[in-house]
Parts: sequence; C-alpha cells; structure tokens
Amino acid sequence: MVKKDLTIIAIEAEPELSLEELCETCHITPKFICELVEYGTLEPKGVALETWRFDTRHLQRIQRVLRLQHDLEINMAGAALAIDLMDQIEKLQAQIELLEKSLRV
Amino acid sequence: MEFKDYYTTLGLSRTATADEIKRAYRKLARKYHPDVSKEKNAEERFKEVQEAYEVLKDSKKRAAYDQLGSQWKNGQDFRPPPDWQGFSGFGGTRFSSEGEGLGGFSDFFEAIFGQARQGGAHRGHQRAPFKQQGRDEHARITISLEDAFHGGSKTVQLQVPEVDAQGHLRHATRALKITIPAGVTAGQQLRLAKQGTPGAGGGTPGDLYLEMEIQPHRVFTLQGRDVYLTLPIMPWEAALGAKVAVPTLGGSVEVKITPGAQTGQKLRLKGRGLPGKPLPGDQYIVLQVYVPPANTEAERALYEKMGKEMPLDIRKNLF
Repeated sequence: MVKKDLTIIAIEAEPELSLEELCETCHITPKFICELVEYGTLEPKGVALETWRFDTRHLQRIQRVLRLQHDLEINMAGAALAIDLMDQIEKLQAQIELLEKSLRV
Repeated sequence: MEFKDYYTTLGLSRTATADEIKRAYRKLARKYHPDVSKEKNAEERFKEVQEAYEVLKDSKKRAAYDQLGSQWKNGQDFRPPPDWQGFSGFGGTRFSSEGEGLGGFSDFFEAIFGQARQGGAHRGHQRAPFKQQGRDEHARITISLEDAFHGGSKTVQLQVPEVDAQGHLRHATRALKITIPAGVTAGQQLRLAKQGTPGAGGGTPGDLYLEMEIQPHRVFTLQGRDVYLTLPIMPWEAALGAKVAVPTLGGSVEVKITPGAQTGQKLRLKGRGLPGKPLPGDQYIVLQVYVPPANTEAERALYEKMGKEMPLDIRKNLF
C-alpha cells in the first residue's frame, strides 16, 4: 500500500527542553536523567535542576542508552561506558578521515 | 510473503535449548546493534535477529512457529496454513523501545503473530476507542554538505506504520518535503512536531525525529561545525609566499600564504565553517606542498641548480 502525502514542513531549529519536557518526550523518569548527568553522559545547559536545558543531541543520547539497555541487556554504567567509547571512536574516525584526505592529494 | 527461518537467522539448529538461543541472540545483537555496529546492513540484520529472538525466546511462540514444520526454507514463498488463526493470542512486545526505528517486524511475523498486538492496539472494537497519544518516530536522512551549509528543502520517503480502516497495522510510504535550516550538523536530530504515528481516538500524533547524516564531500571534511580543506601548493608558492584562491562552502576566497610555508601548516578562516549559534564554525586549510616531477631536460636542470644553490642536510637530525 503506497500512500502519497506531500507535506511541506519548516523545521523548528534546535528545540530546547526542560527536564520535565525531556522526561515526557522520552517516557522516562527524572531519576533516569539525573543518573545520566551524574555519569557525565548528559551535560545539560544550566546549573540547577530547574534550569537544566537539553537539546536534540541529549535526546539522541538518551535514546541510545535506552536502546542499548533494552536490546543488549546492559545496565546504566555499561551503557554510559559504551556511549563514551562510541564518542571516542567517532572522534578518532573523523581524525583518520582527515589525515587520509591530507595524505591523498 | 517470504518465510523466515528464525533458526538460521540465529545460526541455530531446531533443537537449540533456551540457553543457546539467548546466547546466540546476545552475541548477534552486539554484533549488529545499529548503535554499535559498523557492519553493512547492520540495522536490517539486527531487526531480523530481534524478530527471530522475539519468537524463539517465548516457548509458546516457538511451539507455534515449530508447528509450521521444518520443510520451509528461508525466503521461500509462504502462505499461512488455513487454520493459522490458531496462532493468535500472543501479546507481543514488538518494538525494541520507544526510540526504535521506523518499520517493525516482517510481514511473515505480522501474519503469524501480529493479530494479538493489534487486538491490544485497538481493543476499542467492543468498547469506545480510548484516547491515546501516537508514538514518536525516528528516521535518518542524508543531506549534502552544501545543504547543511545553506539550508534547503529535501523530500524524504518514510515507511510509516499506519492503522487502516479495518484496524490492521500496515506500512505506508509517506513523502515529506522538509525545510532544513542552515547549519545542521552531523548526528543532529530535527523534530517535526506531530508528524509521527497518528494518535488513537483523537489523541495527538507523536513527533517525528530526523537524524541528519551528512554525505562525505569531495574536498571538504567536517569536524563538528569546522570545515577542513587540504590545499595543495607548489614549492615556489610555499617558499616565496603567494595569494591563492581557496574554495569555501560560501564561495571562493583569496588566501595569503606567507613565505616559508610547509606541508601540514594550518590556516584558519574564521567563521567560514557551518553556521551556528553561538558561533559559526571555522574553515581550516591544511597546506600540502606538491613536488612536481622533473620530466624535461629544462626541469631537471632547475632541480639540479636548486640542489647546488641550496645545499641542506635535511636528514642530519636522524643520525
């Protein structure tokens, strides 16, 4: 079944979410977020809990943690570690790509 | 529809124990998990593995699946047996998590085990439909570096689950034309409010999240918002200095190379990277001195002259 449905949408740039909004969006508890902040996996803007602001990158990390926890049956600490390592791999890969490009010319 | 051999998917024999099934799943899930894996078709493979595990880990579902018999081969054209209603009554947890991608399990799975979940999704057959918010959906789109810089519109095809008039869940293709703001970065997610799964019973639709993937560019390399360019220069340009035209995403600019430049030297064009708040990225130019080959007699003479006029023991520090 193919339904054609063309809609033109202007995307809101960088929506910022409060702790409450973030919990609602991801269907998780504030405790879950606080734990991820403690692990350093999330670094929201703002100092106090009430003024924390999250962006879509944080959202993405949370989804990643949820997926890893659920699909691979790992705990929060394991997921936080996996995410740290993935960040490092991403950085290293970008550097490799850069170096390879500068050597190829 | 195609028959799915769940045992083959997990690399198991039909006599595998529950422990073996769990072990095989865990191993393959780690191997093909889309967040972790760099394998080709990781996402597709992961879904297959998940679907197979969904069935085989549950003794009732496994028994029902085994009833279909072992004569079926993976990918073979499959028609459900006439009495296949007998397999309903399964409460499936179909989606891996709230964040899981678009499109769920195969048609085969739907045909054999899908009924119960749908029963759950619209219990409202007998009762008045309850109000329920639609699911958020996630998808990935690939855009060019130019689009990321300038912004632009792009039409994307999305596979979206949809509940039809009979209450069956189907996959429909939806085309969405999307305006991408200038300065999106790789991995960034854009939220399209209310473009996810429609709500039930008058509930609000979920949101659609689009993850931006930026295509590798022929000359530029991206690091966050910074753009890198390797700029080849000739030896005399490096030695004497020069003014050189350099491409940037915003158009060509003239760059001054100071005398005595070397390979690896970095120049920064402030604010010439991807736009963004609070500050736009920069463009970095990495110089690379190119040594032209000596093909003709005159060219050879030039190099020989250089060798005589500019004696330098460049390797003395190696010993």
